[in-house]
Amino acid sequence: MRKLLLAVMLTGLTSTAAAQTKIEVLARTCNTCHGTGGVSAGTSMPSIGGLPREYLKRVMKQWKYDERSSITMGRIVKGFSDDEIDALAAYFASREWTPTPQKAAADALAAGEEAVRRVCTDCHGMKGGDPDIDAPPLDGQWGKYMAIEVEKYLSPEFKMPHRRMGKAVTEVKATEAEAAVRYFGAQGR
Amino acid sequence: MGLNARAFLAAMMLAALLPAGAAVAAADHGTDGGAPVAIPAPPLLENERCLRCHADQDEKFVVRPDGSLHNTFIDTARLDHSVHAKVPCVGCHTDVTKLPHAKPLARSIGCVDCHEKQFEAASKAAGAKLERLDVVLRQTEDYLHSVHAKPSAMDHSRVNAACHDCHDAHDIGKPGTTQRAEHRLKNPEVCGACHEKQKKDYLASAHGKALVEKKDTKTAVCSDCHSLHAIGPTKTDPVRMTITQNCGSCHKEAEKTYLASYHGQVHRLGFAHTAKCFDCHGGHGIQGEDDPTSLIHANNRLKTCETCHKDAGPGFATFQAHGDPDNFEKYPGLAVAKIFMQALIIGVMAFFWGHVLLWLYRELMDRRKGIGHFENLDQPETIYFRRYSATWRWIHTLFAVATMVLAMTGTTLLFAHTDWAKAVVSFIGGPRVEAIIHRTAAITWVAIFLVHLVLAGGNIWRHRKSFRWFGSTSLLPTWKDLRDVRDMFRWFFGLGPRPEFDRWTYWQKFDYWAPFWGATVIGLSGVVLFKPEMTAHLLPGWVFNIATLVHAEEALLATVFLNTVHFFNVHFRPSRFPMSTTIFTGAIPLEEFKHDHRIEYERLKASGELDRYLVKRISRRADMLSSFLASVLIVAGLTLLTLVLVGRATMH
Amino acid sequence: MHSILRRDLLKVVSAAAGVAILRVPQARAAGAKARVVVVGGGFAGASCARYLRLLDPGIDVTLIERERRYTSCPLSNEVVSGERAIATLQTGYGGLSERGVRVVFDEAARIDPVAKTVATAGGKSFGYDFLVVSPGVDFDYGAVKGLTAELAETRLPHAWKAGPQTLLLRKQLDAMPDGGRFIISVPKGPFRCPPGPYERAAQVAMHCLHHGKKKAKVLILDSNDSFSKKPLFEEAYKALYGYGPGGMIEWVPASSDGKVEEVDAKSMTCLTTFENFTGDVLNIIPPHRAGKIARDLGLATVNGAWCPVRPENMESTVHKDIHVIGDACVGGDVAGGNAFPKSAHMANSQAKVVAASLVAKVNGQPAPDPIYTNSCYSVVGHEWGFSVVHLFRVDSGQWVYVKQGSGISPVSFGTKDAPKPVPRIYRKMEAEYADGWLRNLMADAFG
Repeated sequence: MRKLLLAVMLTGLTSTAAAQTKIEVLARTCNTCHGTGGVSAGTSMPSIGGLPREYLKRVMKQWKYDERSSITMGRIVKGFSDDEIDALAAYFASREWTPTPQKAAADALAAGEEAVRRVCTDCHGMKGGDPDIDAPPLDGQWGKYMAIEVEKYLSPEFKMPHRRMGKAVTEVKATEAEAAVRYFGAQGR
Repeated sequence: MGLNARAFLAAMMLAALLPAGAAVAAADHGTDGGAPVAIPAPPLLENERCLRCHADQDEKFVVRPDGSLHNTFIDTARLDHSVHAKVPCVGCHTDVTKLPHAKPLARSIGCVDCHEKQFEAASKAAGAKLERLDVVLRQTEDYLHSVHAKPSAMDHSRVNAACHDCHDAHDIGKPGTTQRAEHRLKNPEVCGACHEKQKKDYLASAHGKALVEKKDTKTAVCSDCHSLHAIGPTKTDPVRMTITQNCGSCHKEAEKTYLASYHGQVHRLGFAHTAKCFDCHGGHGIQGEDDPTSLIHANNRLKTCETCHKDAGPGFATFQAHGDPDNFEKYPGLAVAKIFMQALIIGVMAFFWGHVLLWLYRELMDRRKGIGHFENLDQPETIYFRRYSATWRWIHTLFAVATMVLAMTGTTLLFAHTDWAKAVVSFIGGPRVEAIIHRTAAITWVAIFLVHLVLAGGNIWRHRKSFRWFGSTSLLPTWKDLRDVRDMFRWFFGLGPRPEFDRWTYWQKFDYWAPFWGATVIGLSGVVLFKPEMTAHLLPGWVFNIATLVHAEEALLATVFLNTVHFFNVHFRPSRFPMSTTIFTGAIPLEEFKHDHRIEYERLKASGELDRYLVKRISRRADMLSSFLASVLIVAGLTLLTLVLVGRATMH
Repeated sequence: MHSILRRDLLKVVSAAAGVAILRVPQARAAGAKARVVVVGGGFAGASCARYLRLLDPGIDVTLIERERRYTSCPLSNEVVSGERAIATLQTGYGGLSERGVRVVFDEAARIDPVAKTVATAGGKSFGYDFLVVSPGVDFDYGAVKGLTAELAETRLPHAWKAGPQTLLLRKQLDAMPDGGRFIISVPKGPFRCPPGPYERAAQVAMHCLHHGKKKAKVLILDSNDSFSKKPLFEEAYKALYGYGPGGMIEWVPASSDGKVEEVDAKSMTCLTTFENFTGDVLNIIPPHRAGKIARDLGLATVNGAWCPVRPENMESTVHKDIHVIGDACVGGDVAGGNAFPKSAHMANSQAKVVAASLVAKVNGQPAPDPIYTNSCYSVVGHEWGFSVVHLFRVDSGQWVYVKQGSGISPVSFGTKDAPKPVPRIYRKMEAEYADGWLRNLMADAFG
């Protein structure tokens, strides 16, 4: 009887372990573009380790189901099942958000302050590090990547379903957006 | 340095170059020390920041993780016109200290706290206007004591209904605004969110249809009957009383007539065990009288009455529950009865109060002149004339007590609006007990009356051969009595001597015969009131209405008459003041007898029978006892009179 | 004994001892669970060594690599055109050393699969429990008459192993005059980096445009009849440089006699079956085969050139406990026409599969299901790039090419009947992503 119990327990453990290993294998394939452990080496590729789970899940599913435009990611996530997407989101969300602050000049940062306070911090939090439940942290994210995202929101060629972000980027001038991106990229722990 | 270390160093330098290369590409030239510039935190979250999301027309709902939709939209147009227009968002939502804020927010807003603080602050500040804060505070007090503020039976961590379950704090209109009126029209929806069955019934009712179809803001909504915030379980008496009162806030005529009815009188005394508005008319599903489903529709009425009156006769259905004697067109019989009774009261009282006042005047005038009969208290009478036998003395005492008990237990109903009535009924033990006392006293009274009739009849029968119907000792009115009335009035005006009387003066005869009228009117109407089920099998319902009216009016007449006119005639006229104990002792001082009933005195003296009736002066003890008894009755009577007059005067 | 004798004796003894020490295979480090030797420190080998140490620091890992610095081939075409500094493509092995990889700068000379040892040219010997062979590709100079390895270093650089040849080719391009002709000879596939030659053509054309050489021509002589991302390249060529006989770039497929059979360095002429093409720059890319050490070991049994491996863990089908990854191997859905592309990203992906399977084996756990991915970016002009992605899973011991998770950048939007061109902004962002992709690829492989 004890042997049976042990066998059952071990099976349970191994199956969860197997599931965990399986998702780790899949997650490692992301490292090539997004950096080991989801901490990107820059500059146009975003860090994804530590992004909020709901955010990752939502965005990947939006790519998969053509609700959100993408350059490359759409092709990739279409090869994943919804369960794999959920598991990937959980996996990366479980890692700690690791800012990679990029230095910027004080006056360059100051140029974006007002715009950041007026438009960005209400959803992304002070310094971009305390975001809303459906927004990613921006502190220490790669500036080039963030600039590309802003460009996508502004361009009519891209379908970006997050309405409020779409509205927000229209409320700042191009120079302010640039400075905001720089500001957030310079933040870190 | 070893091979590896050198390679390591080279790699490090290269690694340092890579971002530098990128920096070159981005045309950044780092000159600062490195610490990122911090944005100082804003002191207060301005409304505009909140409204950026919460006034977004295109995104009024958010989907919560559990899949439920949550409305986040604030209609700023309405908010700006509401009572909270000047309150900043974070003034109430105090747990939003930064943006983005936690979702969902940890706790609900405490309306009560804020209003209390506001009220305190406003009361302390000099020259500050409370505006309607005191009203709000009273409402919150009501709420806090209501059933809604109690923990929910299904989930102890929540109350049955919190402020925000009924009020949209963003949309509270100022009194008089259309916003406010709309909120009123939405009232059934708000309450109906939990009380679904009641809402369904209500919407099918006359009140509900008026609201929904005609948008009539004057029709009753939930809070009109159940009160705004002092909402209690409708099974309890105080709540049922309150609701009944609230019906009257719109239906004033009905309330007036209801309160005039027995049901209404019991209710007014503060007792719930009686028919209330909703018991007959229905509550939520109330319909107009013409609606065939209405509980008071002619076809359904009897059944409705049978809810309480199990043996209700057909007369119940024709009872005019809201009979209004002031409404001649609708209730002519009742109106005529009222007019008649009131005319009677006015007529009788006018005459006799005139009589009393003039007599008083005359005796005072005579006293000044030194004429008339006075008892010399220094030399009290030693010889008394025995006027009343023990039988009469007992009968009178019982009668007096029964009458007073009847008056007391009856006028509490008639004047249910007074504090004294409520106190008396509570003291007695409630309307039920009072009814038993009243009916017991009534049966006693009627029994005494009938016993006396038997005795008197027996007496007459025994002396039938020699009984002189209109003789000098008869109580039947004679022409002499009329002459005496005339002569008395002449004496009042100093136009003639005081008439001389035989055994019974005219006013004593009146005192004897008036109860016959009273017994008939009050007695018969009393039977109807006592046994409505039985009566309703024989007589139509409007008889009950008239019975109620005449019973009360006649009782009023009797009470006022007895405690004013009778008391004056017997006790208060200056020649007798402060009292006469004759009816209690049975004996009247001889001199007084000679003065008041000279003809009888002369007759008895002439026939030699006088000695038979003479008695020694009553013992001191008997005197004291009888005086005490008389005093008690007089005081009781006067008290009763006062209460009744107060009740009559305050009746609207 | 005499002192002299003693001295000699000591010398001999110490020499013998030294030889013996040198010959004795590296003993297992104290407490190590297993020894893994990785031959070849390119993207495949470096990634494998790094991930083995990342996943289980208890495994002893030795990397044998000839060069002290590695230059990335991906995006090296931008160096040829002058758009990129070569330093951005270069890295040392310090990152691996930090991870605890024993990096040996030497050349693996001989592998003994029975004794499980690897002998280097420098005389060292390393024993292994598991061997990873990632030697990259070797060039079959003999396949093109008149081409030698020496010529490739000096006059006819292939620049298909990034480094000095890349800079040489760049110099040659700089020196090319307006109206000159740049010939690229593409070998028969499979070859390393399928879109590479065509990206190079575009980069060269861009260089010419930027440097006032509007009349220059880029001629692609192809031993194949099609190429990777063809519609995307052709769209870009047409839009940016002109494509075809009248344009700057011309492509001659094999069916049109594009295969270069012979090359004459003196007259700078490429000879196909029927034609001669003279050029100012001859960029002859010879046919590829697996690196020598893999072939010497007998691992390359596919056409004598490529090493077949097992889908679940890239283990050679020839020798046990030897895994072949990188350009040297052949894998994927070959029969269905979706073989593994020879790319750095693919190499890195295969390396992780091997690392995961070895770590599982060493720790007595079942090997996880492998997943192989690839994404390759091509930058064809200023703010113009595109990409291809591949996804392979393994099912019932076979590679499965997952079509819905793979594919090239969109060629057009809209519908088949009403096509719309893809907005330029998409191409611009691909070029931007290419840079980020490379940074992370290098960081993930080399640390």
